[in-house]
Formats: sequence, C-alpha cells, structure tokens
Amino acid sequence: MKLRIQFTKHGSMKFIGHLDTMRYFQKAIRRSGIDVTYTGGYSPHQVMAFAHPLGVGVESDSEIMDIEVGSFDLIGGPDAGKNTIGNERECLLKALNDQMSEGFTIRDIRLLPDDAGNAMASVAAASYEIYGLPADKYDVIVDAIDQIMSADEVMIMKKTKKSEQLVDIRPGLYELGIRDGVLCMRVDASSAGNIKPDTVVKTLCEKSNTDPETFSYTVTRTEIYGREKNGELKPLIEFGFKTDWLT
Amino acid sequence: MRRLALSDDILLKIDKPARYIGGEINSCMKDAASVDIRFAMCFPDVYDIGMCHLGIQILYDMFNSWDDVWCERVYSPWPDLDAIMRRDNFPLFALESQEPVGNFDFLGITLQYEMCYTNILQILDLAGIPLLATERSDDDPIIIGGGPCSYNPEPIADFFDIFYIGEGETRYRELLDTYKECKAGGYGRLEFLRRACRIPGMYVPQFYRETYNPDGTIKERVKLYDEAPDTIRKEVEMNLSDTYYPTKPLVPFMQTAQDRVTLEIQRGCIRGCRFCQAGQLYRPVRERSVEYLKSIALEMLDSTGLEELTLSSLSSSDYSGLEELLEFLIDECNKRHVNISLPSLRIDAFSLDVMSKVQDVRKSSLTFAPEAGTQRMRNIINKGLTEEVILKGASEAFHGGWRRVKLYFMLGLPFETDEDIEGIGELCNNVAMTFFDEIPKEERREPVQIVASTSFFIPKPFTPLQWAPMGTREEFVRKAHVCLNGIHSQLNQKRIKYNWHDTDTSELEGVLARGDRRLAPLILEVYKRGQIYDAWTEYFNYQTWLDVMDEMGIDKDFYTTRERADDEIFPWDFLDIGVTKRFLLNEWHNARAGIVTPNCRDKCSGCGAAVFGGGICFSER
Repeated sequence: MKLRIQFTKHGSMKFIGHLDTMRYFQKAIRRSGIDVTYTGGYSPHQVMAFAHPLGVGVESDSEIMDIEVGSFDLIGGPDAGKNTIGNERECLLKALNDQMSEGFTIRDIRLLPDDAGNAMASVAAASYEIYGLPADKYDVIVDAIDQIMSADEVMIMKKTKKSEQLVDIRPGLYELGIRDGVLCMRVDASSAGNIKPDTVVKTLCEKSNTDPETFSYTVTRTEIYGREKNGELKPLIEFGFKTDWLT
Repeated sequence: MRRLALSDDILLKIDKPARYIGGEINSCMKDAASVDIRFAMCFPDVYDIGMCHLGIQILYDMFNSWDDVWCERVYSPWPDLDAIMRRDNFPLFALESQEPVGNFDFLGITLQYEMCYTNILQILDLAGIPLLATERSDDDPIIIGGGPCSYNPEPIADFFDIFYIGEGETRYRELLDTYKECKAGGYGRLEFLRRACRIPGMYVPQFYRETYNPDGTIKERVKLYDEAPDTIRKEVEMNLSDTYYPTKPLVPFMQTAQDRVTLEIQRGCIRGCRFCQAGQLYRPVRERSVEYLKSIALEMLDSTGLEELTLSSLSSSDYSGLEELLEFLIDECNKRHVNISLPSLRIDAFSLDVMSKVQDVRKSSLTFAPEAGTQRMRNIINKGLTEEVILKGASEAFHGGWRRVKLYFMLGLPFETDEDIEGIGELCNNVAMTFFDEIPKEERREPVQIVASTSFFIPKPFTPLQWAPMGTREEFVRKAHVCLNGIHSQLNQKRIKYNWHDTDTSELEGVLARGDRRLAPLILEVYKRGQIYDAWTEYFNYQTWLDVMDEMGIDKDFYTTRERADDEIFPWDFLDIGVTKRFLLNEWHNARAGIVTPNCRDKCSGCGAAVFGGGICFSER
C-alpha cells in the first residue's frame, strides 16, 4: 500500500538539501514506528519517492513524498501498538508529526489508489511565491508580466552542463501575477519542461530593466500539482484518499 | 522559530550551511535565563567530523541532564565562513542558542589530535577570547581542554585555563559547583582557578613553570602556587554500566563522517602494544555489562532512527560478552533493517561467521593489523599477532568467500632494519599464496586483492616507546621505497596494492606529540600567519611551520629524532595515568631485547593501573 505524505519545509530547514531531507525522513519514519516497506539485501532501504527536489534556500508549504507500507499499524515508536483502526490517517499523521524538528510539519497523509502514478512522474506543475520584490518597481514589473503573458513565445537561454540552448518558456507559464506585493506563479514542473522560479524572476528583471543585484528575494513553493485524466491540474496530495482506508 | 546567527545571504553563499543552523533531532534547548552555567563544548574541526565524536555526546548528555547547566556545541567554521566572520567581525556562536560563545561561562575543547592545534586558536580568536590564558579577564569564559592530547598538554598549555585529565563523567559536577560558589561569592577568575586545581584531575598550567638544562631537556618543574598539586592523576569512571550514556544521541541533518549509533562496549585494552598510546592511557580495561549494552542499544536506535550501529572499543574481540551481545544485536538489527558494522575484530572463525551474517562478503574487505613485517619486529612492539595466525585467518576468510584483504603496517619503528621492511612484501605475498594454494581454480574467478598500507611511527607520551627516536622525513621516504620495492619483488606483486601516509604531517605530529611549553609561541605564530585546518591536506602548509621554527630557533630534531635517556624528565611526567614510568621503562628495555609481555587477561604485569581499584586488574584469570 502506498501513502502520500504532504509536508512543509520552513525556516532554517530550507538550508537542508534534497538528499539530506530524504535521509531526515527515513530516520523520522523509523522513529515514528510507521510500518514502512524495505528493499532486501545487505543494506535495506525504505521504499520512498519524492515528487520534486526543492533547492537549498527555498521554503515550501507543500512537499510531496510517497512511501510504501506493509500495514497501517504503528510497529514501533512512542505510540507502538496503539489501536489505529478507524482513524489510521490521524494516528499516522500524529506519529510522524511527533518526530519533526522545527520547520517541518506533516500536513496530510493520504492513501493512494493502486493505479496512482509514481510521485516524480506525476508532477505537472508547481506554484511559487516570491517575496522581497522592490516596491518602487511594481509598476514596471506588472507591465513586464502583461508583456510576457500576452506574448506568443518567451525565448530564454537555457544553460546545461554541455551547451546553451534557446527555449520557449511561455507554454509553461500558466499563471503569473502580483498579489499583495508578492509575485505568484504557477509553472510547468514536469521533468520535460520544468521552469525554475529564478528563471522567471530573471526574465521579469530583463523585461522591466530591473537590476537583479539591487534586491534579494526569497522563494516559497506553495503547491505541487499533477494532472487529472481530463487534463486539469490538481494538487498531488488530492490524488489520495482521505478516508475509508480499509475498504 | 529559532533565530539564526548568520543571515540568509551568508548561509546561501557558503558550503553546507546545515553545519551552522543547529536544531538537530535530540539537540537540547533550554531557557538561558533558567540556568546558572552556559557551557560551550567544542570539537576544533569541521562539523562533519566533530559531530561523530562520542566523548562530546556523552558530556553533552550529562551536562544537559543537570537543570542548572545548558551545554551547547560549537565546531570550527570551514575556511569559507571563517573568512566572512573575520571580514565582518562576526563573533563565533554556539549552535543551539546561536549566541556568541564569548559570553559563555565555559568553553570546553576536546583535543583528539595534534593537527587541530591551530584550529583551537581559530576558535578562541573568532569568539573574541584572548589567546593566552594569562591575558583573560573575569568576563571571558574558562577555557578547559580534555581528550587524548591533554596527556601532553604542554605545547598548548599557554592557551588553556584548565585541562581536565581523564574521563569526564567523574569530576565536572564538582568543578561546576566550585564555579558557582565563586560566582556567588564574587571571586574572580584567579580564585576560581586556585580552587579548581585542588579538585582531582584538574591541571591549571599557569600555576607551573619549567626550567631547562643547557642541552634543552627539562631540569625541573616549579610551582608558582603552593597549593597546586605536584602531580595530577587521571580520572576514571570505574562503573561503566551505571553512568552517563547518551541514549538520545544527536541526529545531524547533513551527512557526517559516521552516521550511526555508537555503542561503546568497554574502555581500555588488554594488549599492551608498545607503540599504542590509547592502550596505556585508558587502563585498566573496564567492560560495560551485556545487559546494559543491550538496553542502551535499543534505546539509541529508537530515539535516532539511524540505520547503522557500530561497536566502539580498542579491541572488540577481547570483550568477554561479545558472543551474547552480537547474537542479540544481529537479531534486533535484522528486525529493524539496521546495518551493523564491526570494526576492530580479530579475524578468526567466530568473527568471520558473524561478519558473513551482517555484510556481503564479496563486497567487503577484511582487515589485519600486523603493524610490522617480521616476527622479530612484532615482538619488539609487543604485537601478539603471528604470521601463522594471519595466514590461518586469511585462509578461513578465502574459504568463506572474501577476496579483499587489507593489511596495516608501520614504518620507522625502533630497531627496524631493511629486512623488517621487506618482510611486509613477503607477508603480503604469503597471504596471496594462501589464496592460490587453498582455493581451487574454478572458485578463483574473482581474484584476490591485497592492499598494504603503511603509516610512519610517531612515538607518543605514556608509551613504552616514548624514549624512542622518530625517523626523519627523508628516512620515511626511503623506507617507503624499500617497502615498495620489497612488494614489487614478490611473485604475486600484481595482486598487492601499496599506500603510504604523508611524511610531512607525520613529522609535525611527532614534534607536537612530545613537545614542551617552548612550542606554544610556534603554534601561535603559525596561526597568526593564517594557518588553520592542518589536519586537512588541502590546507596544511608545512613550509610555514618550518619557516617559523627556523626563525624562532626551534630545532625539530630535538623533539623527533633524539633518543631520550632513561632518566630524562618528560614534559608530561607530572601527570599520573596509573601506569608507572618504571613499568614503561621496563617495557622499553623489553622492546630492545625483543621480549614479549603477556596481555592483561593472561597475566598481570604490574603496570600500576591497579591503583584505580577495579576493572580487569581485579578480575579472575
């Protein structure tokens, strides 16, 4: 059985890199007593997958990780042996939240349907909020946003390890706007067309003649989405069941 | 949310910011206003190394179990952050509170290796604490050192207020209570140090002075404060099954050198190898009970969620309850999908059986530490491992499926000849021969691989070889080539790989290990010229050390290549580790004569450690 776990990563935890975050959760799950499934062999690993790596320095309201479990029982940890029947979700949520350090919070745990795709391949989009834009530049930035969103294509130079390539990011920019002084965006986050929030900020700076060196901003990821069969974006966590785990 | 000392801008600019944010699982937060004593515990190397140290974890746990103390941690900022802190005049902070270490009551520094000495000065400097103990005011923290290098604290004596000699479990409570009395009574730093030096195990270096003979050796030690003790006996915890142990060890966010639960099964070693400092310092052997170890092992696994457990001791095979303990641990670890790593096991049928249960034999390697290439040489150093035993172990290992063997040796041992060095190649070749003789052709698809490594012998205080001369860099390089040629002349040379340790680091370590107070100005000057992180080859600059020695007229050969007379006064003679100098001298003479001394379990040789009234000295043989 596969569980989907949604968690936040705030404050100083933004300095914990992606691999270290994975290791952090492996230990937290052990401590919690959740009956996670292990691979075989001499160095067994938990069956665990993260949806989308989060860069060092970026905070998040909604990170997604899937784990495989053998049962919904707590086989160890402070709540070991507790009767979880009937409120499995709440029990696991509490058990894991009890193991979090400040900055990490488990928001939700859902049971995935058997046919759910794996976390990483399911990612279609992500939304971000950018804090710290220079207030005196709002007007020109709003103009630049209009300019970008009404254009047919937005070509940027994408650097890879081997080469530089011109790519059009316009099709991957789903939403872009300023709300209460915060730059909000919803962009493609799939493996084929992932757009980094920094790339969008850089493009906006270019279009609005703003020197990116004159301000420093922080990034928060607010949601990760998958795509429903009809093509609609839906938060990844909502692909799992909230209730009726045993039926 | 905890506020961090460093800004986001800085943290995002430097390598591995997780080193500096604290907040790890099982780290201890307290209300600063509710405690009487703020203690900063420092490992003077980078976080990734320092976090793995068991000693600090034990003391951290002990201090924080006391309501009136808050113990926090501090590590050496990596050179990237070091440069920023110096540029911005940013004070060194402790990880938990993120507050400046300069405002603490105590700064404890563990001394694990000589090559960290410049990092001690880095820590003091960044914390804004005067580098010399005598220049500190009542507002500065008390700087206290401990750990293996405190058994010859003299080269760094000028930088410390106190050295705690021995195991930390026993006397810290008394020391902190004395501190509180002094604080309440409004007594200053000097009065506190005067009271502290009367507590067993506490060495206050500023109360002593050395005088020297014309030839540079020590003439005598002069006391500058009458009440200070003449000798300081090391402290030992005699009941290791009823004492402090960190059952909730810290769990770092980032990957460190050793991400695992450490189970210290015993202290001390019965073997008495003559080059080994730990084998003398930590006498007598004291075991923790199997029941105690079982219970803390499970507690630690539960409280950390770590996926690996390791045993810690100088020689795990000599632990009397090993079979019962391992049976239990293998069972529990299998249930929990936890790996066990088993260092320092002697290779025999039992250990091979155990290891085959916990590791993939095809992928793992076996380690032997013969330390010398010939039996003559092994007798000199009292390494009770014979070629017969090694070859028997290797044979059993090859039959068990192992194909990789590591062998550790030392070069530059006293009374060593080129034949002894060439013996290393012969021994390696015989291990390879064993493989080809014993393993039928059809099972030889994966060939045997032998890795021989040599380090250079560095005489250490409180060992029988403390009188011995150490080789020069030039001799070391020559000997490494003799060894290499010896290996190359073997029939199976293609199956043998050879590594040797850096000669510059070894030589400097040799100078500092048996150094005296006259080296403090050297360390200070080298630090002032920008040298830190000497333990890291990418930052170590031996030329700076040589230049300053030259300018100060310090003759490194006086400390390294000189053979000491039997009656020479050593800088560390005022410390009493239980083991007597007479015993060590007798052992030095036995080394010269090639006479082997039995281990503590077979026969008591009267080393003096029985003075502590327990451990193996009083167990039945």
